[in-house]
Amino acid sequence: MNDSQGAGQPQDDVILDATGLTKVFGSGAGAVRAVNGVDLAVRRGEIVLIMGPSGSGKTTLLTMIGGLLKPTSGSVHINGLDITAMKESALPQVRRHYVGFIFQSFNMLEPLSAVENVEVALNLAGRGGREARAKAERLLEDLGMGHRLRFKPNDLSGGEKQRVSIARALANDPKLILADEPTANLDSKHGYEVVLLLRDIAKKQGRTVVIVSHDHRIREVADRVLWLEDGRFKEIGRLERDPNCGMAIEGERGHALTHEGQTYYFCSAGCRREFEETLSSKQADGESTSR
Amino acid sequence: MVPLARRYLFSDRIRLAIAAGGVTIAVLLIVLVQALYQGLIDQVGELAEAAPSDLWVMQAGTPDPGHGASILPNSVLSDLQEVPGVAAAQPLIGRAVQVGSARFGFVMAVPEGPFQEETIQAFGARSSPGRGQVILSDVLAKDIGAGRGEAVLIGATSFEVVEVSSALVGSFGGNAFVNAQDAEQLFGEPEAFSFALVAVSPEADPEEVAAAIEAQIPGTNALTPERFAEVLRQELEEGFLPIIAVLIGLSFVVGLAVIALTIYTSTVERTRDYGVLKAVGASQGQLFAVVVRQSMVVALVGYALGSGVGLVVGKLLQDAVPQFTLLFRWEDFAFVLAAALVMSAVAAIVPIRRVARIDPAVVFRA
Ligand SMILES: Nc1ncnc2c1ncn2[C@@H]1O[C@H](COP(=O)(O)OP(=O)(O)OP(=O)(O)O)[C@@H](O)[C@H]1O
Ligand SMILES: [Mg+2]
Repeated sequence: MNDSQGAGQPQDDVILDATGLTKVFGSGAGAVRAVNGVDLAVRRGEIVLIMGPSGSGKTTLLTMIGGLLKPTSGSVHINGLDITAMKESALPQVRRHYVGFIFQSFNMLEPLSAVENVEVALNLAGRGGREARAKAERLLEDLGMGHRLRFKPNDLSGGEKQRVSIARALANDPKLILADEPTANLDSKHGYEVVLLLRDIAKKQGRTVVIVSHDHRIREVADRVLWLEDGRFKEIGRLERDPNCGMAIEGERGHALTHEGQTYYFCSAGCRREFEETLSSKQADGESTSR
Repeated sequence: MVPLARRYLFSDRIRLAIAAGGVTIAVLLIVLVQALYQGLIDQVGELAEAAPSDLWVMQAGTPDPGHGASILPNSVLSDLQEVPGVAAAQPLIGRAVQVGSARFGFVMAVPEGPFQEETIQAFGARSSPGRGQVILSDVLAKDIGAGRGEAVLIGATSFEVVEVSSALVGSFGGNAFVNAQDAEQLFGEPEAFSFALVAVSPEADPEEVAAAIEAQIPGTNALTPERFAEVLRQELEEGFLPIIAVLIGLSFVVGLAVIALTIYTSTVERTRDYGVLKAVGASQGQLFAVVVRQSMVVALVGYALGSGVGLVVGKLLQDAVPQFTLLFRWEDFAFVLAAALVMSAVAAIVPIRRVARIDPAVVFRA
């Protein structure tokens, strides 16, 4: 793991290059500066994990990087292409061929079967017929979904849906994969499978992967972890894991609790309270609470 | 290719059924109104076209027998013989008069003349009835509740029904055929008749002969059967066309509204899906095509059902109410198809505008 921010690599290896990226929602007194002058360069095959408190602008940043949202100022280059200078009508082309999205809520198209959910992405990029169907099936088989090709999303588990959505994101062979909380709706086993898939997508397939997540296990596979707060990247403090909800938090800023010589950090006072309650009930059972 | 539009449309079958049902009813209404109208138009000229002659001659200014009665003195018959190109002139008596309890029927008779028998048969009777007898068209007989062998009042005179015939031509089937002498008495015009059916000599041009008749015999109009039928139809069209247009227009609006509402609510419900498609790289045009296809499928299903049901209902209606003659013409079905396609295109406008405005960032909201 490498928490440093500099790219330090030849320029042509940089797949994603964002500079001075800013998004202001609304205007006047009610304006929200959701993202505020963010610079980010990510190389081919690199996994960057972006963490930060709720409302800090992570999703906003991701949508700008993926060409779904026009920044107020700043620029985004994908594979050397300045997508912020492009006309609105040229952006679908970019999303089709350069970017794949993975979402927290899977975003399956419900009336379509698993394989059709993948195939539709190929269709939109102008690939149809047997070739598209075969490619969609191959992608799903590679993700261990060969036995669920004709299932409707309703009949798939969360982990299966996320694999379909990963296959869909990979359909047009994008250089850049953007994932927003890809494991948040999954149990820990299936969440971990997704973490490993994302690692393979970067390391075996050589794609650039940017993940927004609170999931600690993603830190294990990330090349860099960035901390976004109030729309800016902050010098990352020591990241701690909330023992109650599992969320990543910056140690110095969290709600701390020291118990039997061990300091715990919590995302909120609520989590700390719950943790205290479990501690006291365990003590009442006479059990040791040391980790 | 994944048939996105079809998948979305068929994912909510109840909605699809309601939409297609609404369009079906709209199409059905248009088809029936058109068929009724065309049936009327067709029938109103039937009598004129059935004449076994080259020209109709009538009292000037009375082309519609339903409105003004044509009365020509018998002298016109001999005057006609003087007009170059006239080969023969057959008189015909015909007038709208009260038949039975409360209805006006078109009562006809064919007096002696150069082609009396031919004329009687051309208008659908086998032979002239005897004195005091009447042949009723089936429609008229049914309408006044008179059967064969019964007595029926025409004007103030009682006649015996000798035949109820489905073959009598013209005037919406409400016809009666009587003996010529009875007709003269009935109408109180003994030395007169209503129309002269003129046969022109083989080398003459009917239009020229018609012009010559009008010039030489003041107070007459001479028309070819086609022209006479056209005049009758025009008169009907002027009266009915605005009503027909309003009915068809309303049906169109109903169909349009049903499609628009269905497709609109469906796109609102599928906002997230359209956002996902945008995020996956769909262009506005590709998404518009998905919307338009849905609206077109609804319109076409409605068109097919509406036309089919229209044909069946038309047949049933015809059997139940014989005075209605429905005429289904392929060009009217083509018109309805075009109308359905226009409906679907217009109905797609609002949903398309909605889809265009969907922010693909919605897909990131959990
Ligand atoms: N479309 C919008 N209009 C106005 N304000 C917005 C809009 N989208 C986001 N915001 C605001 O911008 C800020 C950043 O939102 P964003 O969704 O990027 O946060 P986040 O880091 O993804 O949070 P979370 O971890 O809860 O998902 C928030 O204050 C949010 O209310
Ligand atoms: Mg977010």
